[in-house]
Amino acid sequence: MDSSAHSSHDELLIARLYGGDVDEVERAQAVDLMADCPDCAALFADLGAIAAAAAAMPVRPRPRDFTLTEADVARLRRSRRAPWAVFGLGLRRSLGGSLAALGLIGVVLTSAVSLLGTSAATQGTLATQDQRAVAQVAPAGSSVAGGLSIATAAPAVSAGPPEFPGASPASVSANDGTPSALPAPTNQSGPASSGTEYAIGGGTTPGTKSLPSGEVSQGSGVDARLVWLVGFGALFAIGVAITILPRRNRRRGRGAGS
Amino acid sequence: MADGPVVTDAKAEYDRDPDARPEGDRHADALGQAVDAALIEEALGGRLEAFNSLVVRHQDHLFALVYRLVPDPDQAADAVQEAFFSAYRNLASFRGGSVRGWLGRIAVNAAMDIQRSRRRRPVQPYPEFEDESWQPSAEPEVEPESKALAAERSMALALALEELPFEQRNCILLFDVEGYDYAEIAAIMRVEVGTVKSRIHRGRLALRRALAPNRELFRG
Repeated sequence: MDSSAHSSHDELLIARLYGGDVDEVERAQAVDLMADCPDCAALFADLGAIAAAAAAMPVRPRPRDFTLTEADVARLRRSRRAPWAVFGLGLRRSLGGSLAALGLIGVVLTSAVSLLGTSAATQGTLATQDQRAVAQVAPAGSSVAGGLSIATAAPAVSAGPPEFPGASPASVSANDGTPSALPAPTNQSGPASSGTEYAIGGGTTPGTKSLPSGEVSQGSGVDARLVWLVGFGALFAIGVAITILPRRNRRRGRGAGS
Repeated sequence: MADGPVVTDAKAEYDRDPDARPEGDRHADALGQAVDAALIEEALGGRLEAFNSLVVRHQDHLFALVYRLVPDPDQAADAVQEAFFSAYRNLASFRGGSVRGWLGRIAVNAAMDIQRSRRRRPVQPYPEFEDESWQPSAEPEVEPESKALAAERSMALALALEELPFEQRNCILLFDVEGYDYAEIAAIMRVEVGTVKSRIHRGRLALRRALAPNRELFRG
C-alpha cells in the first residue's frame, strides 16, 4: 500500500490501539490496518520507541534538600492564620487583581473627572466674565425670569475688558428678574462649553453649590472627589497587597528551606 | 489511615532494615505505604522530624517527576519545595491511600502553576542541555557511541516534548514515564478520563510528528 493511501488511514486509531483504549471491533480494525499498511505498522512501532525513550530520559539529581526547618514551620503557621489564607492562592490572586484593577480604574476616572471639572471651572469663570461683559451691553429684556440665564454661545460677545470691573448698574436679573448688581468677584464654576446655559442662583452645576445670594461655592464638591480618590486608592493598595503578600511569603519560605 | 499497631509494626520492620525490601515488590509497596501513614500520623501530632522523614523518602521521586514537567532545575526545585510546604499545611486533609500519589498530585499541581506562568513568559527550553556535567555517568561497559546516541535521543525528545501543549505533555509523562494510570491522571489534572486518554493519544501522535526529522534516532 502506498503512502498516499496511508494519509487516509486513522492514525488516532493506531495510537488508541497502542494505548490499549480500543474495544474488540476497533482492535480488529487497527490490526487489519497495520497488516495492510506498512506506514501504520511503522507508526505503531514508533510510538513504542518514543515511549521507551521517554522513560529512559536521564533525571537530574535534586539540587538541594527539601526538608522543612523550624523557621519554615513557624512561617507556615503564620500564613495559615493570615486572613487571606482562607482562600486558595489562585482565588487570592484573582481577588487581589480585581480589587487592584477596580481601584486603579476608579483613581483614573476620579482624577479625570476632577481635572475636567477644574478645567471646566476655569472656562466657566472666563465665560462668566464674558457674560458679565455681555450683560453690561445687553438690553434689559435679555434676561430670563427665575435666574440669570445666558446662552454661552462661543465666542461670547465681549464688550469690555476680561476683568469685570466690579458691580455696575447691571441690566441683569438674578433670582427675581429685577435688575441688580452682580456680585464681584463671582466664584462660579461648572461646564461652560458652547451652548450651555448657566443659572446663577437659580440652579447648580455638578460640583458647585448655589448659595441663596447667588454666590457659588465649589469646596464641598472637591472634598467629595477627594474622598472617592482616597477610597479608590485604598482599594488599589489592598488589591496589590493581597496579590503580592503571599508571593513574598513564599519566596521567604523558599529561602529558608534551601 | 492504617491502624496504629499495624503501622507501628511496619515502621519497625522498615526501620530495622530499610534496604532489605526489593524494589517493585508488592509487599515492599504495602510496607512503604504503612510507613508513610505512620509518619503522617506522627507529623499530625506535631513532630517535624516525622514529616521530614517523609520528605527524605519522597524528595528524589518528586523532584524527578516535577523536573520532567518543568525542565528548569531552579523552577522545579521551587515547585517541589512549595509542594512540601503545601503538604505540611494540608496534612490533616490526607484521607489515606498512597502518600506517594498524594504528594505527587500536590507536586504536579505546583508544577502546572509554573507551567502556566511559563506559558505567559516563555523561556528558553532546556537551557541546561548545554551543560552535560550533571548527566549520570554511563556504565563502563557502555559504548561511547551508545552513550552519545542516548544523549542525542533524550535531547531531541525533550525539545519535541516542549513543543506540545503542556496538558498533553503532562499526560504523556505521567502515563509513560511515571506510571500513573488514566484515572489517577484525571484526578490530578481534574479532567475526565476520556480527556486524559485523548490528550495522551493525540499528544503521542504530535510528538511523533515533532520528532520526524530525528526519526532515525528512535529506530534500530
